[in-house]
Amino acid sequence: MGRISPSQGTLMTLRTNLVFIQNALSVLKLKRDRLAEELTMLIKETSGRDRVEEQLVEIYNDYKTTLASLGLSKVHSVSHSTRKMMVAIKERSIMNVKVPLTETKEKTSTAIIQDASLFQLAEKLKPVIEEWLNIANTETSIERIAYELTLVNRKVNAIEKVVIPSYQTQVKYIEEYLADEELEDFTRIKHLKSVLREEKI
Amino acid sequence: MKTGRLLFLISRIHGLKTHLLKKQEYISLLRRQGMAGMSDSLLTGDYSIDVSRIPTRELNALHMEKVFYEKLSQRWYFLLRITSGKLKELFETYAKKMEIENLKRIIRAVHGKTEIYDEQLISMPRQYQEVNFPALLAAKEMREVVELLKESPYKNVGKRLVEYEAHGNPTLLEAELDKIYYADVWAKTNETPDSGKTRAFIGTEVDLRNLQWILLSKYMKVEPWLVHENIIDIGHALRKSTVSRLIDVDAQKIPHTFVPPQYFETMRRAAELIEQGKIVETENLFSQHLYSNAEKVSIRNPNSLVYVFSYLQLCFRETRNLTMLAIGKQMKMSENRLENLLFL
Repeated sequence: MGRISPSQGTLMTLRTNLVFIQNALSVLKLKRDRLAEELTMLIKETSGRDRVEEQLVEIYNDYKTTLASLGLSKVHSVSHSTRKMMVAIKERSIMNVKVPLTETKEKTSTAIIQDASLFQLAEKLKPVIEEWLNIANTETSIERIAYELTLVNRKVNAIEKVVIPSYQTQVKYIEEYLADEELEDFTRIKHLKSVLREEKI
Repeated sequence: MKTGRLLFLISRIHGLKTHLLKKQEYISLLRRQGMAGMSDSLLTGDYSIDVSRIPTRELNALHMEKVFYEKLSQRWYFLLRITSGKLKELFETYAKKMEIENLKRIIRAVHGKTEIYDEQLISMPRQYQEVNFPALLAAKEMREVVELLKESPYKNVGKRLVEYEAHGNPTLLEAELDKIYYADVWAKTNETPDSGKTRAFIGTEVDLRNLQWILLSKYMKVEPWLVHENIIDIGHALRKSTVSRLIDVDAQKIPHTFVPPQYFETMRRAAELIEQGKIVETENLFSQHLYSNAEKVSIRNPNSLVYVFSYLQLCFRETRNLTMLAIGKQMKMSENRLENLLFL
């Protein structure tokens, strides 16, 4: 408190800063609420994860059987002939938090697979992979939003519990100091006037 | 009247057939713990030298599969060393199946714009290679591949290039290779003794391939023209009219459509399995029919040329079974599941 020069100018600056910080606090609170809302929505979207995992386990078991039945070289060779699935990873912003957005650029084609067991496997895997990609998107978004939410919460708490009270204390101190100074001046002037009046008489 | 050469060949094959693994040996391999257990068991038979060459650290399904296919190749090409004349020509043509498989792998890789290396091909003796594999492996475009095949027995593949480019489907080229292969084998069987039995054996193989393709193409919803393209025109009991009828009918009507009696049960069972979504089992059912037929033929014709073909088919069965076991061990598949998959 000692470092602050208790002047009218400082008081004005402190008051302006306090208003600005209070506005920033409300904006941060808005961001926090929006992120929390987004998080709740995203968490609901991951509810399909267990089902997708079960499907992947089932497909993996089928894959083992197919691999054993056809042999490694045959399966590798057929997989060479199919075009690979192309995925573009873009970003979108939720309250300035960058979350991934995958977009399937080129779907893989199963039409040229001549072997029925591999065809069946690929057909089963196609929708699950897309769903899995969406879940990966959602989970990464949740991670990033949750991290940002922690940061925002910390900022809100710091502003609410430390910064604003400290500003308010400073403002109050200067106000009191200035009021005391004013009273002192008033008393001094009064005293001076009474001295001057006595001298005239 | 059988020639001395043929009798010599058949008696050698009788000896070689005793080297093939028996049902009990497969079961014993199945019960062994892990890949190490399996390789230990194989150290006492035909595979001993090749398996022992695999360092313990590199003991995996990929290396084991390579060893099994190398042995298959050695067994198939060994026949060429103990035969001569027309018989040698026939077996040389029959052994082209390896070359065809390698060409298919190259075609698939070129189509998918993926690199393919020599190690990914089935090894075969250099003197029996009709194509320039190093050049084919380096090819980047399908036109290059077709160009390189121009001077080989597979030059007709080039005729399919336009269709391939129009539809972007390498199956067309693969089907052409199969057609060339079976037509060559078919022509050669006419020049050797026991041609009737040999043709019946090879024709059965083609019939089963055609039936499997027709049935499974319905599951895969392949366009009818492509189904026709993939059909091989020769065969044993399957008539062209039956093939056309089978292609035209709905999948549900297949069990009620006429097929030669020897395939009826397989087709009925296969249709049931497809309905249950068991595609691997369906494919294995056709293979099982093929190998059972080979067993029967070898028992019924111990002094015929077809005995040699049945031996070659049983060698192939052994390779598939051992590959299955190696992969199953690596993937930690249950014994029951593996036992059901094995061709016993």
